[in-house]
Amino acid sequence: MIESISNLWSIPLLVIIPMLTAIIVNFLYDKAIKPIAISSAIVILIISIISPYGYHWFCGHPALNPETLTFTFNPNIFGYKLSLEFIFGPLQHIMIFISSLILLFCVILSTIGLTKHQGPYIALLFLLFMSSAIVIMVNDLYHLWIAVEIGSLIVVGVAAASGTSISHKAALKYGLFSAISGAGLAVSLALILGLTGFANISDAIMYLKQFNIGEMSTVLYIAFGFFVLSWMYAGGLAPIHPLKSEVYGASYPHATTLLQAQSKLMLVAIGIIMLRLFGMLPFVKEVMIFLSVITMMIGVIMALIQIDFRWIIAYLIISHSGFVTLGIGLGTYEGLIGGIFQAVNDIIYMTILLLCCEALFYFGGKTSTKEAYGIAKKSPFIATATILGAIAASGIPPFNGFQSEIILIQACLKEGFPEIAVLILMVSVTTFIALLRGIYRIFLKPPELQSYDDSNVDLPKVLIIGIIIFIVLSIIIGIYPDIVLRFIIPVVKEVLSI
Amino acid sequence: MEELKGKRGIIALIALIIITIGFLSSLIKLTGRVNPGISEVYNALAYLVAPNNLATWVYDWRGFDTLLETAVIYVGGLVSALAIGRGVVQMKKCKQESPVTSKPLEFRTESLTVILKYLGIPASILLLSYGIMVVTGSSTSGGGGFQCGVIMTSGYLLAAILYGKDTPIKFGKRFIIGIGAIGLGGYALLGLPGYLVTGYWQYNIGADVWGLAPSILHIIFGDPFRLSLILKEGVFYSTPGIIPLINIAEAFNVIGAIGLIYFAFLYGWSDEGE
Amino acid sequence: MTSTETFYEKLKKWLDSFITGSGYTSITTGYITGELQFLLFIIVLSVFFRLFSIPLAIILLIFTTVFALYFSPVIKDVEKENMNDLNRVLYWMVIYFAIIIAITLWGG
Repeated sequence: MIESISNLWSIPLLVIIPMLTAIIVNFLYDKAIKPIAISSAIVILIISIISPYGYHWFCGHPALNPETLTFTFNPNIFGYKLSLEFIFGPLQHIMIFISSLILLFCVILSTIGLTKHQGPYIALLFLLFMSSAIVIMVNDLYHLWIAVEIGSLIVVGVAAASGTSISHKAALKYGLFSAISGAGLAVSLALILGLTGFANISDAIMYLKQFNIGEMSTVLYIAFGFFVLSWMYAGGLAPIHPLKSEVYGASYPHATTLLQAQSKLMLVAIGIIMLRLFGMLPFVKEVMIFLSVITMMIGVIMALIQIDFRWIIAYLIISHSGFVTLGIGLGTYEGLIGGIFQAVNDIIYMTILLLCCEALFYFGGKTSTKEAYGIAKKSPFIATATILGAIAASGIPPFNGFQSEIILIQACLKEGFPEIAVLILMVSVTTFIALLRGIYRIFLKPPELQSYDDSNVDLPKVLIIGIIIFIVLSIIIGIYPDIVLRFIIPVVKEVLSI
Repeated sequence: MEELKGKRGIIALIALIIITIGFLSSLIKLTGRVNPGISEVYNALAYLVAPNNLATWVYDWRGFDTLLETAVIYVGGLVSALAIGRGVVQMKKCKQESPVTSKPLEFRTESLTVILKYLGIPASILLLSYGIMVVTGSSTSGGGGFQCGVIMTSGYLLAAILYGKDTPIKFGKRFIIGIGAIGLGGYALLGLPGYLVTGYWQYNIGADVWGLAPSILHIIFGDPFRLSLILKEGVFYSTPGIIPLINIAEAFNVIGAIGLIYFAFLYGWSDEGE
Repeated sequence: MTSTETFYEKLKKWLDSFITGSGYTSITTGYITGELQFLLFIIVLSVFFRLFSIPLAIILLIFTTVFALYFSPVIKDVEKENMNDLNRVLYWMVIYFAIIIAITLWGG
């Protein structure tokens, strides 16, 4: 239950601690970064676990009750909020917990595996976490826009950090498009502000419900169009998927874990906001479903024809984003549960695959499927983990992917869309084919004799621990899905106001 | 641009026309019917903080938004310098292609005319002092931290362009980054007193509009910036509280971020020495 | 009318178009699976029109199947359309955006 306090202690810390850490490590540049970054990531993880639920009204201005014209600091009494509202509820709890877990591994892996001068890079990782935490917690249109804007800028930085020409190109292209989608979101929120007069999302929805907007729905439709633009951009839906997958593929795999978590969080957060703001208009849900279906299929088809394991995973991330948005687009009870649950599961199993991909860098960084490397013989653990990750991603029980995909399929059948259910099955199967192509070439197929090198490779223990933790999480959620669903169901009930 | 010729170009044009018609029709619908909503309340209460409504809006009602906006500028500086070569990272264990770097610009200062040579320094010093003047008037005029930062860095850029490597206004790398860090960190930490006392981050304890802070803090953060309005009806006092401090931090941050961008683009980036 | 021989020829040519050229075997499986996936996807999409009218969906289904087989292999074009070229992405974004606005504004 969300408590009735408007000054919850944990919300500002979840935003300010990453920001201050980023400032400090960026200034220090290469000295003493490791202890500061790791301890800060641990603190964030602990806060995300122990935090109670509630609201935070930044800058401490009260809400104005329109009937009595009195000010109140009690979030349970309805009033138009003067301050900027953040919510920490069950959805935020589970999402931020998983992101901060990934942040911790991401920071440790980058301090171990990368060359010196990592200050700016680790600063960007912390800011990436901050932007995704803000997007999922914020209940204010204007702040949402800023968070999406800063988020896309940070993605550009993370992609460019490896300094290769391909990552520079990916970063530049993605950065150019941020101008279009950021401006689109700004236009959209300007239209909603003009229509309702409220930047707070709950207040704007309350206004739309109270007053019949009639012929002004044109304005709302255009606002929806621009909103979708930024949704596509932030989550990498079609037609922006070539740019987003390029960013995923060109960044280091450990950074991609955080990048994909951020984009899933953005998809869920912006998707729910869209459903709440525009859900009552006809054709809105259909547009969202249409985009999701296209993304699902194009993503998986593109994954099939890639010749690099990193790019296969990159396109699969895109394709599976389509599942998330499909669930949200359906807008039903089962659909929303399936969509949000899929986002959580997706973050977990893609993290397994990406961490295995990171391990390949310790074997010489060869991820192309053109040649065979026979890595299964050198490290049976990584090979097994990758195959388990592939099984989880393709929705085979007892892993977590199965649980959310079955909910999504049921939701589609219940809504009368058996075709979409067929497509979900197709994508699941094809995910397995696409991954197995890469796995076979890289791990299983014996290498050519002359290119075989027998040297031993020491993988960092953190990497192995991380892979094991995420596999265990995947199995636990797969066997006992209620562990996550109990966070999601109250949120869905609230969104649909059941 | 091959893709946009022929049939595709025509289709794209039709699509753009549809978008334009839709967007304009919504703007026409909205004309004259814009709902003031919450902004009426904001404007009605703004006098309680700073005499300039803009400052109250940007740094008090929506003060936390502005923090994130400031962070956008900071990240912009960070990422631009990263693209030039500051903090590029590679995996220790595997060979990759060497990072892309950009060379410093070539300066040819010998062709500088006499007028520019002798007026350049005074002009940039004038710009720097104008920036300081702007930031001090943040709560009473339209000026503020953003503007101050931009004006001062433009003074820096003017000097750097005119005199090349012998520029009289010289900043070291760590100095610029330190200024940015002080700016953004200072802005973020100015929310701390309010958080510790009232539980609300960035509550303006100096202005204390809602009477949540103890009076001693109200005096410490409010009194140095107290303003008086003398009317026939009497003298009225108000204080913008932490707004002037936020503006100074803001100015530092903008100087740090934009200065870093200019520095990296002008001189390139190498990690050896200063 | 298509005789069996010409249909066979066509199929052979279609498969050849993957294998010759710059293709190598591991990628060929990917391309063929992708091609079939895309075909199925188009067919399933055309089935969707049953929501509006069932006869229309049947006609559309037959037409798309025939067209897709006639124009196959399309996977190379699909790949080309999904390239990361800026102009191409921009073009598709404008098209999508216009469709969204047209459907919601004048359909809703």
